[in-house]
Amino acid sequence: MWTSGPESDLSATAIRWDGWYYDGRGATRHSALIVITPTALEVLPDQLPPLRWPYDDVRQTQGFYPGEHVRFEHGSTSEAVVVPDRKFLAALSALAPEAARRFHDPRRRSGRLWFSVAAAILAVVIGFVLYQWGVQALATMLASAIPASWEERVGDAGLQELAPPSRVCTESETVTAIAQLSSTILAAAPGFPYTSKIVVVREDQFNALALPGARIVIYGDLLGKAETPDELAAVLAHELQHARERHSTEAALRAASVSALIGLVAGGDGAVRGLLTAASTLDQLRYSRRQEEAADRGAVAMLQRARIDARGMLRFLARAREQESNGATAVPRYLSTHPPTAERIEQLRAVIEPQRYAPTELMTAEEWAKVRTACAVRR
Amino acid sequence: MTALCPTCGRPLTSDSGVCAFCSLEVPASVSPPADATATVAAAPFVSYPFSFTGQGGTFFRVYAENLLLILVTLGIYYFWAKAKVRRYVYSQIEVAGDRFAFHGTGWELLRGWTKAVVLIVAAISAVALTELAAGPDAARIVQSLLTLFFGIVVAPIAIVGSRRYRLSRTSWRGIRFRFDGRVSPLARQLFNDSFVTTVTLGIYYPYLLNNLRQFIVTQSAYGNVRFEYDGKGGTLLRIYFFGLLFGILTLGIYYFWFSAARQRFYWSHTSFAGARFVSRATGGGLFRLMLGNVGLFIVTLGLAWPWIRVRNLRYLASVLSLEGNLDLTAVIQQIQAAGAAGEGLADMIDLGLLDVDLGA
Repeated sequence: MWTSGPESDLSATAIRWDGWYYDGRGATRHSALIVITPTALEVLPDQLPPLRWPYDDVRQTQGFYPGEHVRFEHGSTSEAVVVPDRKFLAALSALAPEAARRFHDPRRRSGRLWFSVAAAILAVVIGFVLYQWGVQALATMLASAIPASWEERVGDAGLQELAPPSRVCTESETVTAIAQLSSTILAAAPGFPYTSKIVVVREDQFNALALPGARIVIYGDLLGKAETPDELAAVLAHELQHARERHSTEAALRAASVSALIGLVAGGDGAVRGLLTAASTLDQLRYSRRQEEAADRGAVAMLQRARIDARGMLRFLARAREQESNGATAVPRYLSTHPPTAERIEQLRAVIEPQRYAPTELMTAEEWAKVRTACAVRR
Repeated sequence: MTALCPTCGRPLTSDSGVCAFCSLEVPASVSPPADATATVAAAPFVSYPFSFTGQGGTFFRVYAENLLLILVTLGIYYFWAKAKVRRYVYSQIEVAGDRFAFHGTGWELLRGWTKAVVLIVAAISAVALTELAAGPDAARIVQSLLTLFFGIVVAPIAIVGSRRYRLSRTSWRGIRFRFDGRVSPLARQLFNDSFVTTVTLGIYYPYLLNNLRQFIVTQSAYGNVRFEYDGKGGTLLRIYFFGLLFGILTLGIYYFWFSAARQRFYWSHTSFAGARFVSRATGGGLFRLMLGNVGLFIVTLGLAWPWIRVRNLRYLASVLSLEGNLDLTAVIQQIQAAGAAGEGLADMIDLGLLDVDLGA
């Protein structure tokens, strides 16, 4: 498929070639005889005076690939000649070798073929390496270079959307208790780069999330379902750990560089871009699952250093699992942003049990009861 | 007024004694007969089919080399790659015995893209700076204003600019195409049509498209000769109406038949120098084309992409022809100067309205 029949015979050295001449003024095509001389192309169009084009004034604009006609344009005019037979180029290099260096020589084709094959393989390898390692390395590097204050500002903008003031719970007991809880956790995590901001949103969702700059949203339903302060502490530690490892900032940077890479590969092609984007979105979920595991591990370490009962984490995950089994459908592993809860519990159990310290009491039962219910979802 | 070439049967368009289509000399004996009315009555109806002769294998090589160079240069080569692909594609499209040529360069495309980037970065930073200086509410207002500005002013600039660039860099038989359309009439037209479309809850949309097509076609020229368009919005409305109706009934499969009908409509109302374009695209043809493409793509994990593009272009060209008594004697070269900024803009804001080219 890369060598068509006539291409194989490139030894022709005819001096005269049949072609067409276009005068660049009207749309008539003139049959012409094109003659190769050592210093110039002579163009002899039917019924028109002969022309002499020194090679220096001639550029080749077509005829680089099999199946293309050879096209030469003359100077800054719109005059052109077309020779349908690409063997013309071989004849040109044979008869006027000095001048023909300016033009494509199809006899170099076999070398070019290897170049193409090597290019294809190398392009795939480079693309794969960039995607597999380059994207994450770049995201980590950039995320650590971004000042904490920027991330906080981005996080604040996110809070505006996710937790508009009208839906944020402002009950002072809850707000103060949560602030105290987070400072207890962070007291044992020196060098935490952000001034954290934690809000509870009155919404019927069993979820919590961390925006860049330690902007953390806890949904009312989750707060209501946590049974002890340790469980809430576990959730907070998990989200603070996400923030500390700049997970959401990295994810945003990763998404940006993946889409840039896809742009490079797909060019202007919408269909290819769409397919690659869909595929990479699925694939990128593995980072998300990895981040959850990292946040779990980091959270346990944080809780243990703060001498908070880390078993709260296990209890809370068990509760999350109940929530899942109440839910309608189980998400297949490769489609999920989180690892299966059972697996998370299994991995953490070994680190958490046995607990070798006497955990601090975070608040009294009465205090906790108020904290839990004050921000309940209003129905 | 013309006689026929004894070799290919096509009309003789000049008195040079050479047939403009098969390039063979015409013996003096068949020069225009004395009885002019007789030849008018027998006005030859000639069909000039388009064809695309590109090969997937060659295309694959072009893509592979481009991809490597793009990755190695971190994207800068993209513009040269784009010019290279276009040069190859144009050189493989043929009508009436002659191939097209693309004359654009990577430099031009890079410069055009840079201008577009400056504009878009300026717009984004305007929103971001307003947010920092005056808070999110002010930023939202600035963002809405900019969106409006892009819709009303920048989109027409992109449409006109990209047509002007592409056509002025395209030639056939050594004569360049050109695009004479200006931004302000198009902006007015699009603004009015969008308004009516909104008021009529979308019913006017086919009219908007038809008017846009009319603008694009009638402002396009080959040398000094303009293209003509006589499509009616009502006809397109009917095509869209049935498209929607049967589209729902057939769960979307009718889309291919709709798309073919729209393609036939657009082309059959486009004419040039005494000849009319005809597209014989069919829903079945497009459907089979798509099935084959999807199959190829999946089986080869996307590696067959160049072959898919070739299949598409080959189909597009194979159903298209120019029919009638094409008379090119009046065509005179008129070269237009144009930059690629509009092209860069259209690329970036991705106007779905521009999918009217043959292999551009």
